[in-house]
Amino acid sequence: MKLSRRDFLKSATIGAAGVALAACASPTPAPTTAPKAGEPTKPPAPAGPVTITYLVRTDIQPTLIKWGEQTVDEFQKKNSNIKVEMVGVPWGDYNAKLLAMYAAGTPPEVSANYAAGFGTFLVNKAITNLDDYIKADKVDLNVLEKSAVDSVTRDGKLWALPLANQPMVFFYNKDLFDQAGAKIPTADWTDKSWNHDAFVTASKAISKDMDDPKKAVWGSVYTESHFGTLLFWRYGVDPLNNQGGPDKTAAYKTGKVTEVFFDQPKCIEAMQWLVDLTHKLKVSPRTSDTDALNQAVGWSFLSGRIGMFSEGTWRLGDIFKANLNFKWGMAPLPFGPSGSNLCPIYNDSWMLCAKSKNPDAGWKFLKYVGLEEGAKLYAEVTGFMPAKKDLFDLFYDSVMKAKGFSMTREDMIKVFTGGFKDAFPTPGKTIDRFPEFNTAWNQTTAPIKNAEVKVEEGMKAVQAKFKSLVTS
Amino acid sequence: MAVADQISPSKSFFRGRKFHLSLEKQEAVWFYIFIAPWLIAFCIFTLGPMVASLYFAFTKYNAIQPAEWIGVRNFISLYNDPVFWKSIKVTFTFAGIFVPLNLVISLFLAAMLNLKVPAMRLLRTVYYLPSVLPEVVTGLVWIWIFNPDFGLLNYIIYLLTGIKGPNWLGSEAWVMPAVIISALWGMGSGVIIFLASLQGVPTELYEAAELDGASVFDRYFHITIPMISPVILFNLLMGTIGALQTFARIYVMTSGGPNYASYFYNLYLYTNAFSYFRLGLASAQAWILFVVIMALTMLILRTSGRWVYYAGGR
Repeated sequence: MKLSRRDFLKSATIGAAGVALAACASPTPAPTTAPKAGEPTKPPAPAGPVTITYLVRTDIQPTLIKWGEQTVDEFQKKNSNIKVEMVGVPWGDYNAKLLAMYAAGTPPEVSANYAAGFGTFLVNKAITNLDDYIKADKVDLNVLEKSAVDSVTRDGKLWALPLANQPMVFFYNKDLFDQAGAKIPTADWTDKSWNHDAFVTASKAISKDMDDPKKAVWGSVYTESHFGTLLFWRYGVDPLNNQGGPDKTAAYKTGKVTEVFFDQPKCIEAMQWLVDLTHKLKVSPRTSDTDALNQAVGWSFLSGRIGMFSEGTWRLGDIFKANLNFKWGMAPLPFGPSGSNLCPIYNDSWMLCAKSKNPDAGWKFLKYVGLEEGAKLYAEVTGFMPAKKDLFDLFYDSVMKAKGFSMTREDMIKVFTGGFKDAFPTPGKTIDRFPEFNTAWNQTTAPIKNAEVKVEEGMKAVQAKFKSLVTS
Repeated sequence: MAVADQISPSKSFFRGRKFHLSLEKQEAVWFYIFIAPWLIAFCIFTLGPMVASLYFAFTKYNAIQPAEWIGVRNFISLYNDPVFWKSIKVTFTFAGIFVPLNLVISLFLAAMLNLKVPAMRLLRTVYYLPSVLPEVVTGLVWIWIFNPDFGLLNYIIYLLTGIKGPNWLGSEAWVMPAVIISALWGMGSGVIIFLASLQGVPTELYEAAELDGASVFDRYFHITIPMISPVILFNLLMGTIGALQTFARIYVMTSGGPNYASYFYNLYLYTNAFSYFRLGLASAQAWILFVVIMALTMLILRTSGRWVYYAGGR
């Protein structure tokens, strides 16, 4: 046989292409009953040993990683026919990894809504509706905090199981309050004496050495939450409608943002107040100062140089692992000029991925994580407030044990539960395309927060940017 | 025994009844066998994804649902997207300033490191060191260096001038200079390549020029630069391609901010793909960048005939 160079090249190329195609092709799908994305499911009985994949974050508190591993171990002991493979990935790469797994035809059975709310996953048809599973297993959703269930429900359908449901509060450094002789904030969400004026008074009292960032103690950091809503809601407005608070915003029900009003007078007034805290009253650090402290200690509040810091209660995990050398507590959000102290609620929910190979086994694990032993362990060790109401006490116990915690159990419970009485899910967890809007907010508000442009001018630019996103 | 028989590792195989190949063909066969692993890996890991992304560029694709053919809509959408044009402006501004600066400074440093002074080997290592560190790590260090209140740079500026330095990464005006400074920090590989080329310039050329009365200036511009011009071309090409693909440093240091002032092309591409679930659009962006880089490379190579000197001819 004569083999010409051309023949050889041809066969080699065909061979290589064959290998490439084989590698690129989706793996042969295993028999599955996976429902189509966005459609109701009919869970059949699980058949034989199966392996499911669980995509988890690895960049957060060790307690959370411990929880994940322990939950998987215990689940496997009780369900010998299901093997759970944990795939760890840092938060910043979470969505990238998830999409890569989808593209490879091997999506995980269970993932979480860390990097974007369920709305973003729903609009991309990445998650499976849970209603039929809930019905088949006769799950009583009333065991969960209502605001948590509402946060992952659209058009009456449930799309995820909320594990954590966390109000925003003000963490405060009791030592700094005591040193300044300032009044410790109330634990009562209905106490209207805890308002923006009282907040500024306390911030002023605590602030000192403001001209020397290396020694400075700042009164407060007022984070504004998604699209400034924590701030704007206190002024009685929501940037996604021009009629009033978030209850008037259709986008929070439908997920579709169709109109934006960042340049309405109340939004501008609110933003001016926020900018003044840093640049006029000088009671709050500049973004660069907070960044430097974050780089040094993980979360700037832990440095002991900030009197009050508005954050979600997920920060308790950071406090648990930090060896704090000061006493601390938590307070409600202050009332704003409109007389509102509406609380943004953040939920962390676990989802059943569309197109996964073993959705039924995935659901079994999801239920274990969200409603059974996994949820119990979560409440005990992670510092994340559980969505399941009968686990609140376990969670409270864990907070009471934290070093430096200076509140009574009764007051602590008031702060946690009081937030839910007048609460609303934060936009990031409900609207579709949240990451795009969030990028726009972070980018366009930077010059405002740095006082490089006038607030009114800056908010017009924010409005223009959001408007372009809405119409695109 | 012929030399070819001695060196052929497969004489029995190719001299069997079924195979009667000339020496030339045997060499060709072995050539392809040896490059086959690379070729196969190239097809799987580079060519395959490239072809796939070309297809996805004309589709609406989020990696979850099947790709839907939409023709050139992704390209039209990018054309009408102000952030796309902003990212191009940012990237080309960076490349336009960084690439020439990088060439000039690395050449200067290479010349310095070519001197015969004590501890030169240590110095060369020190200058090369930043190049071996991951950009993510150096990015974190630069965040601290550029911090307006706690950072090293403003501290030095204040010590020397009494002036409070700018908010480097937080200001629209200063973020680009900051990014360029941090990128120049990683010029070590260019320096080492220049250094090797400087050491390859025949000394007899300098001696002859010196005998003819050429000044240091003349020797540099009429001997050194022409002799190392192929390496200048190489560093120019690599620098341009690298600058247009800037990503990790920006991702860590600025996230593209403030107000999109450091929103590099590849950051927008990554964001479209993995934050916004728009892999079709991101594929279109990738191909635009590929074509732009290809065009620029060809342009540089075409003009190189006028200014690159190859001692052995071309």
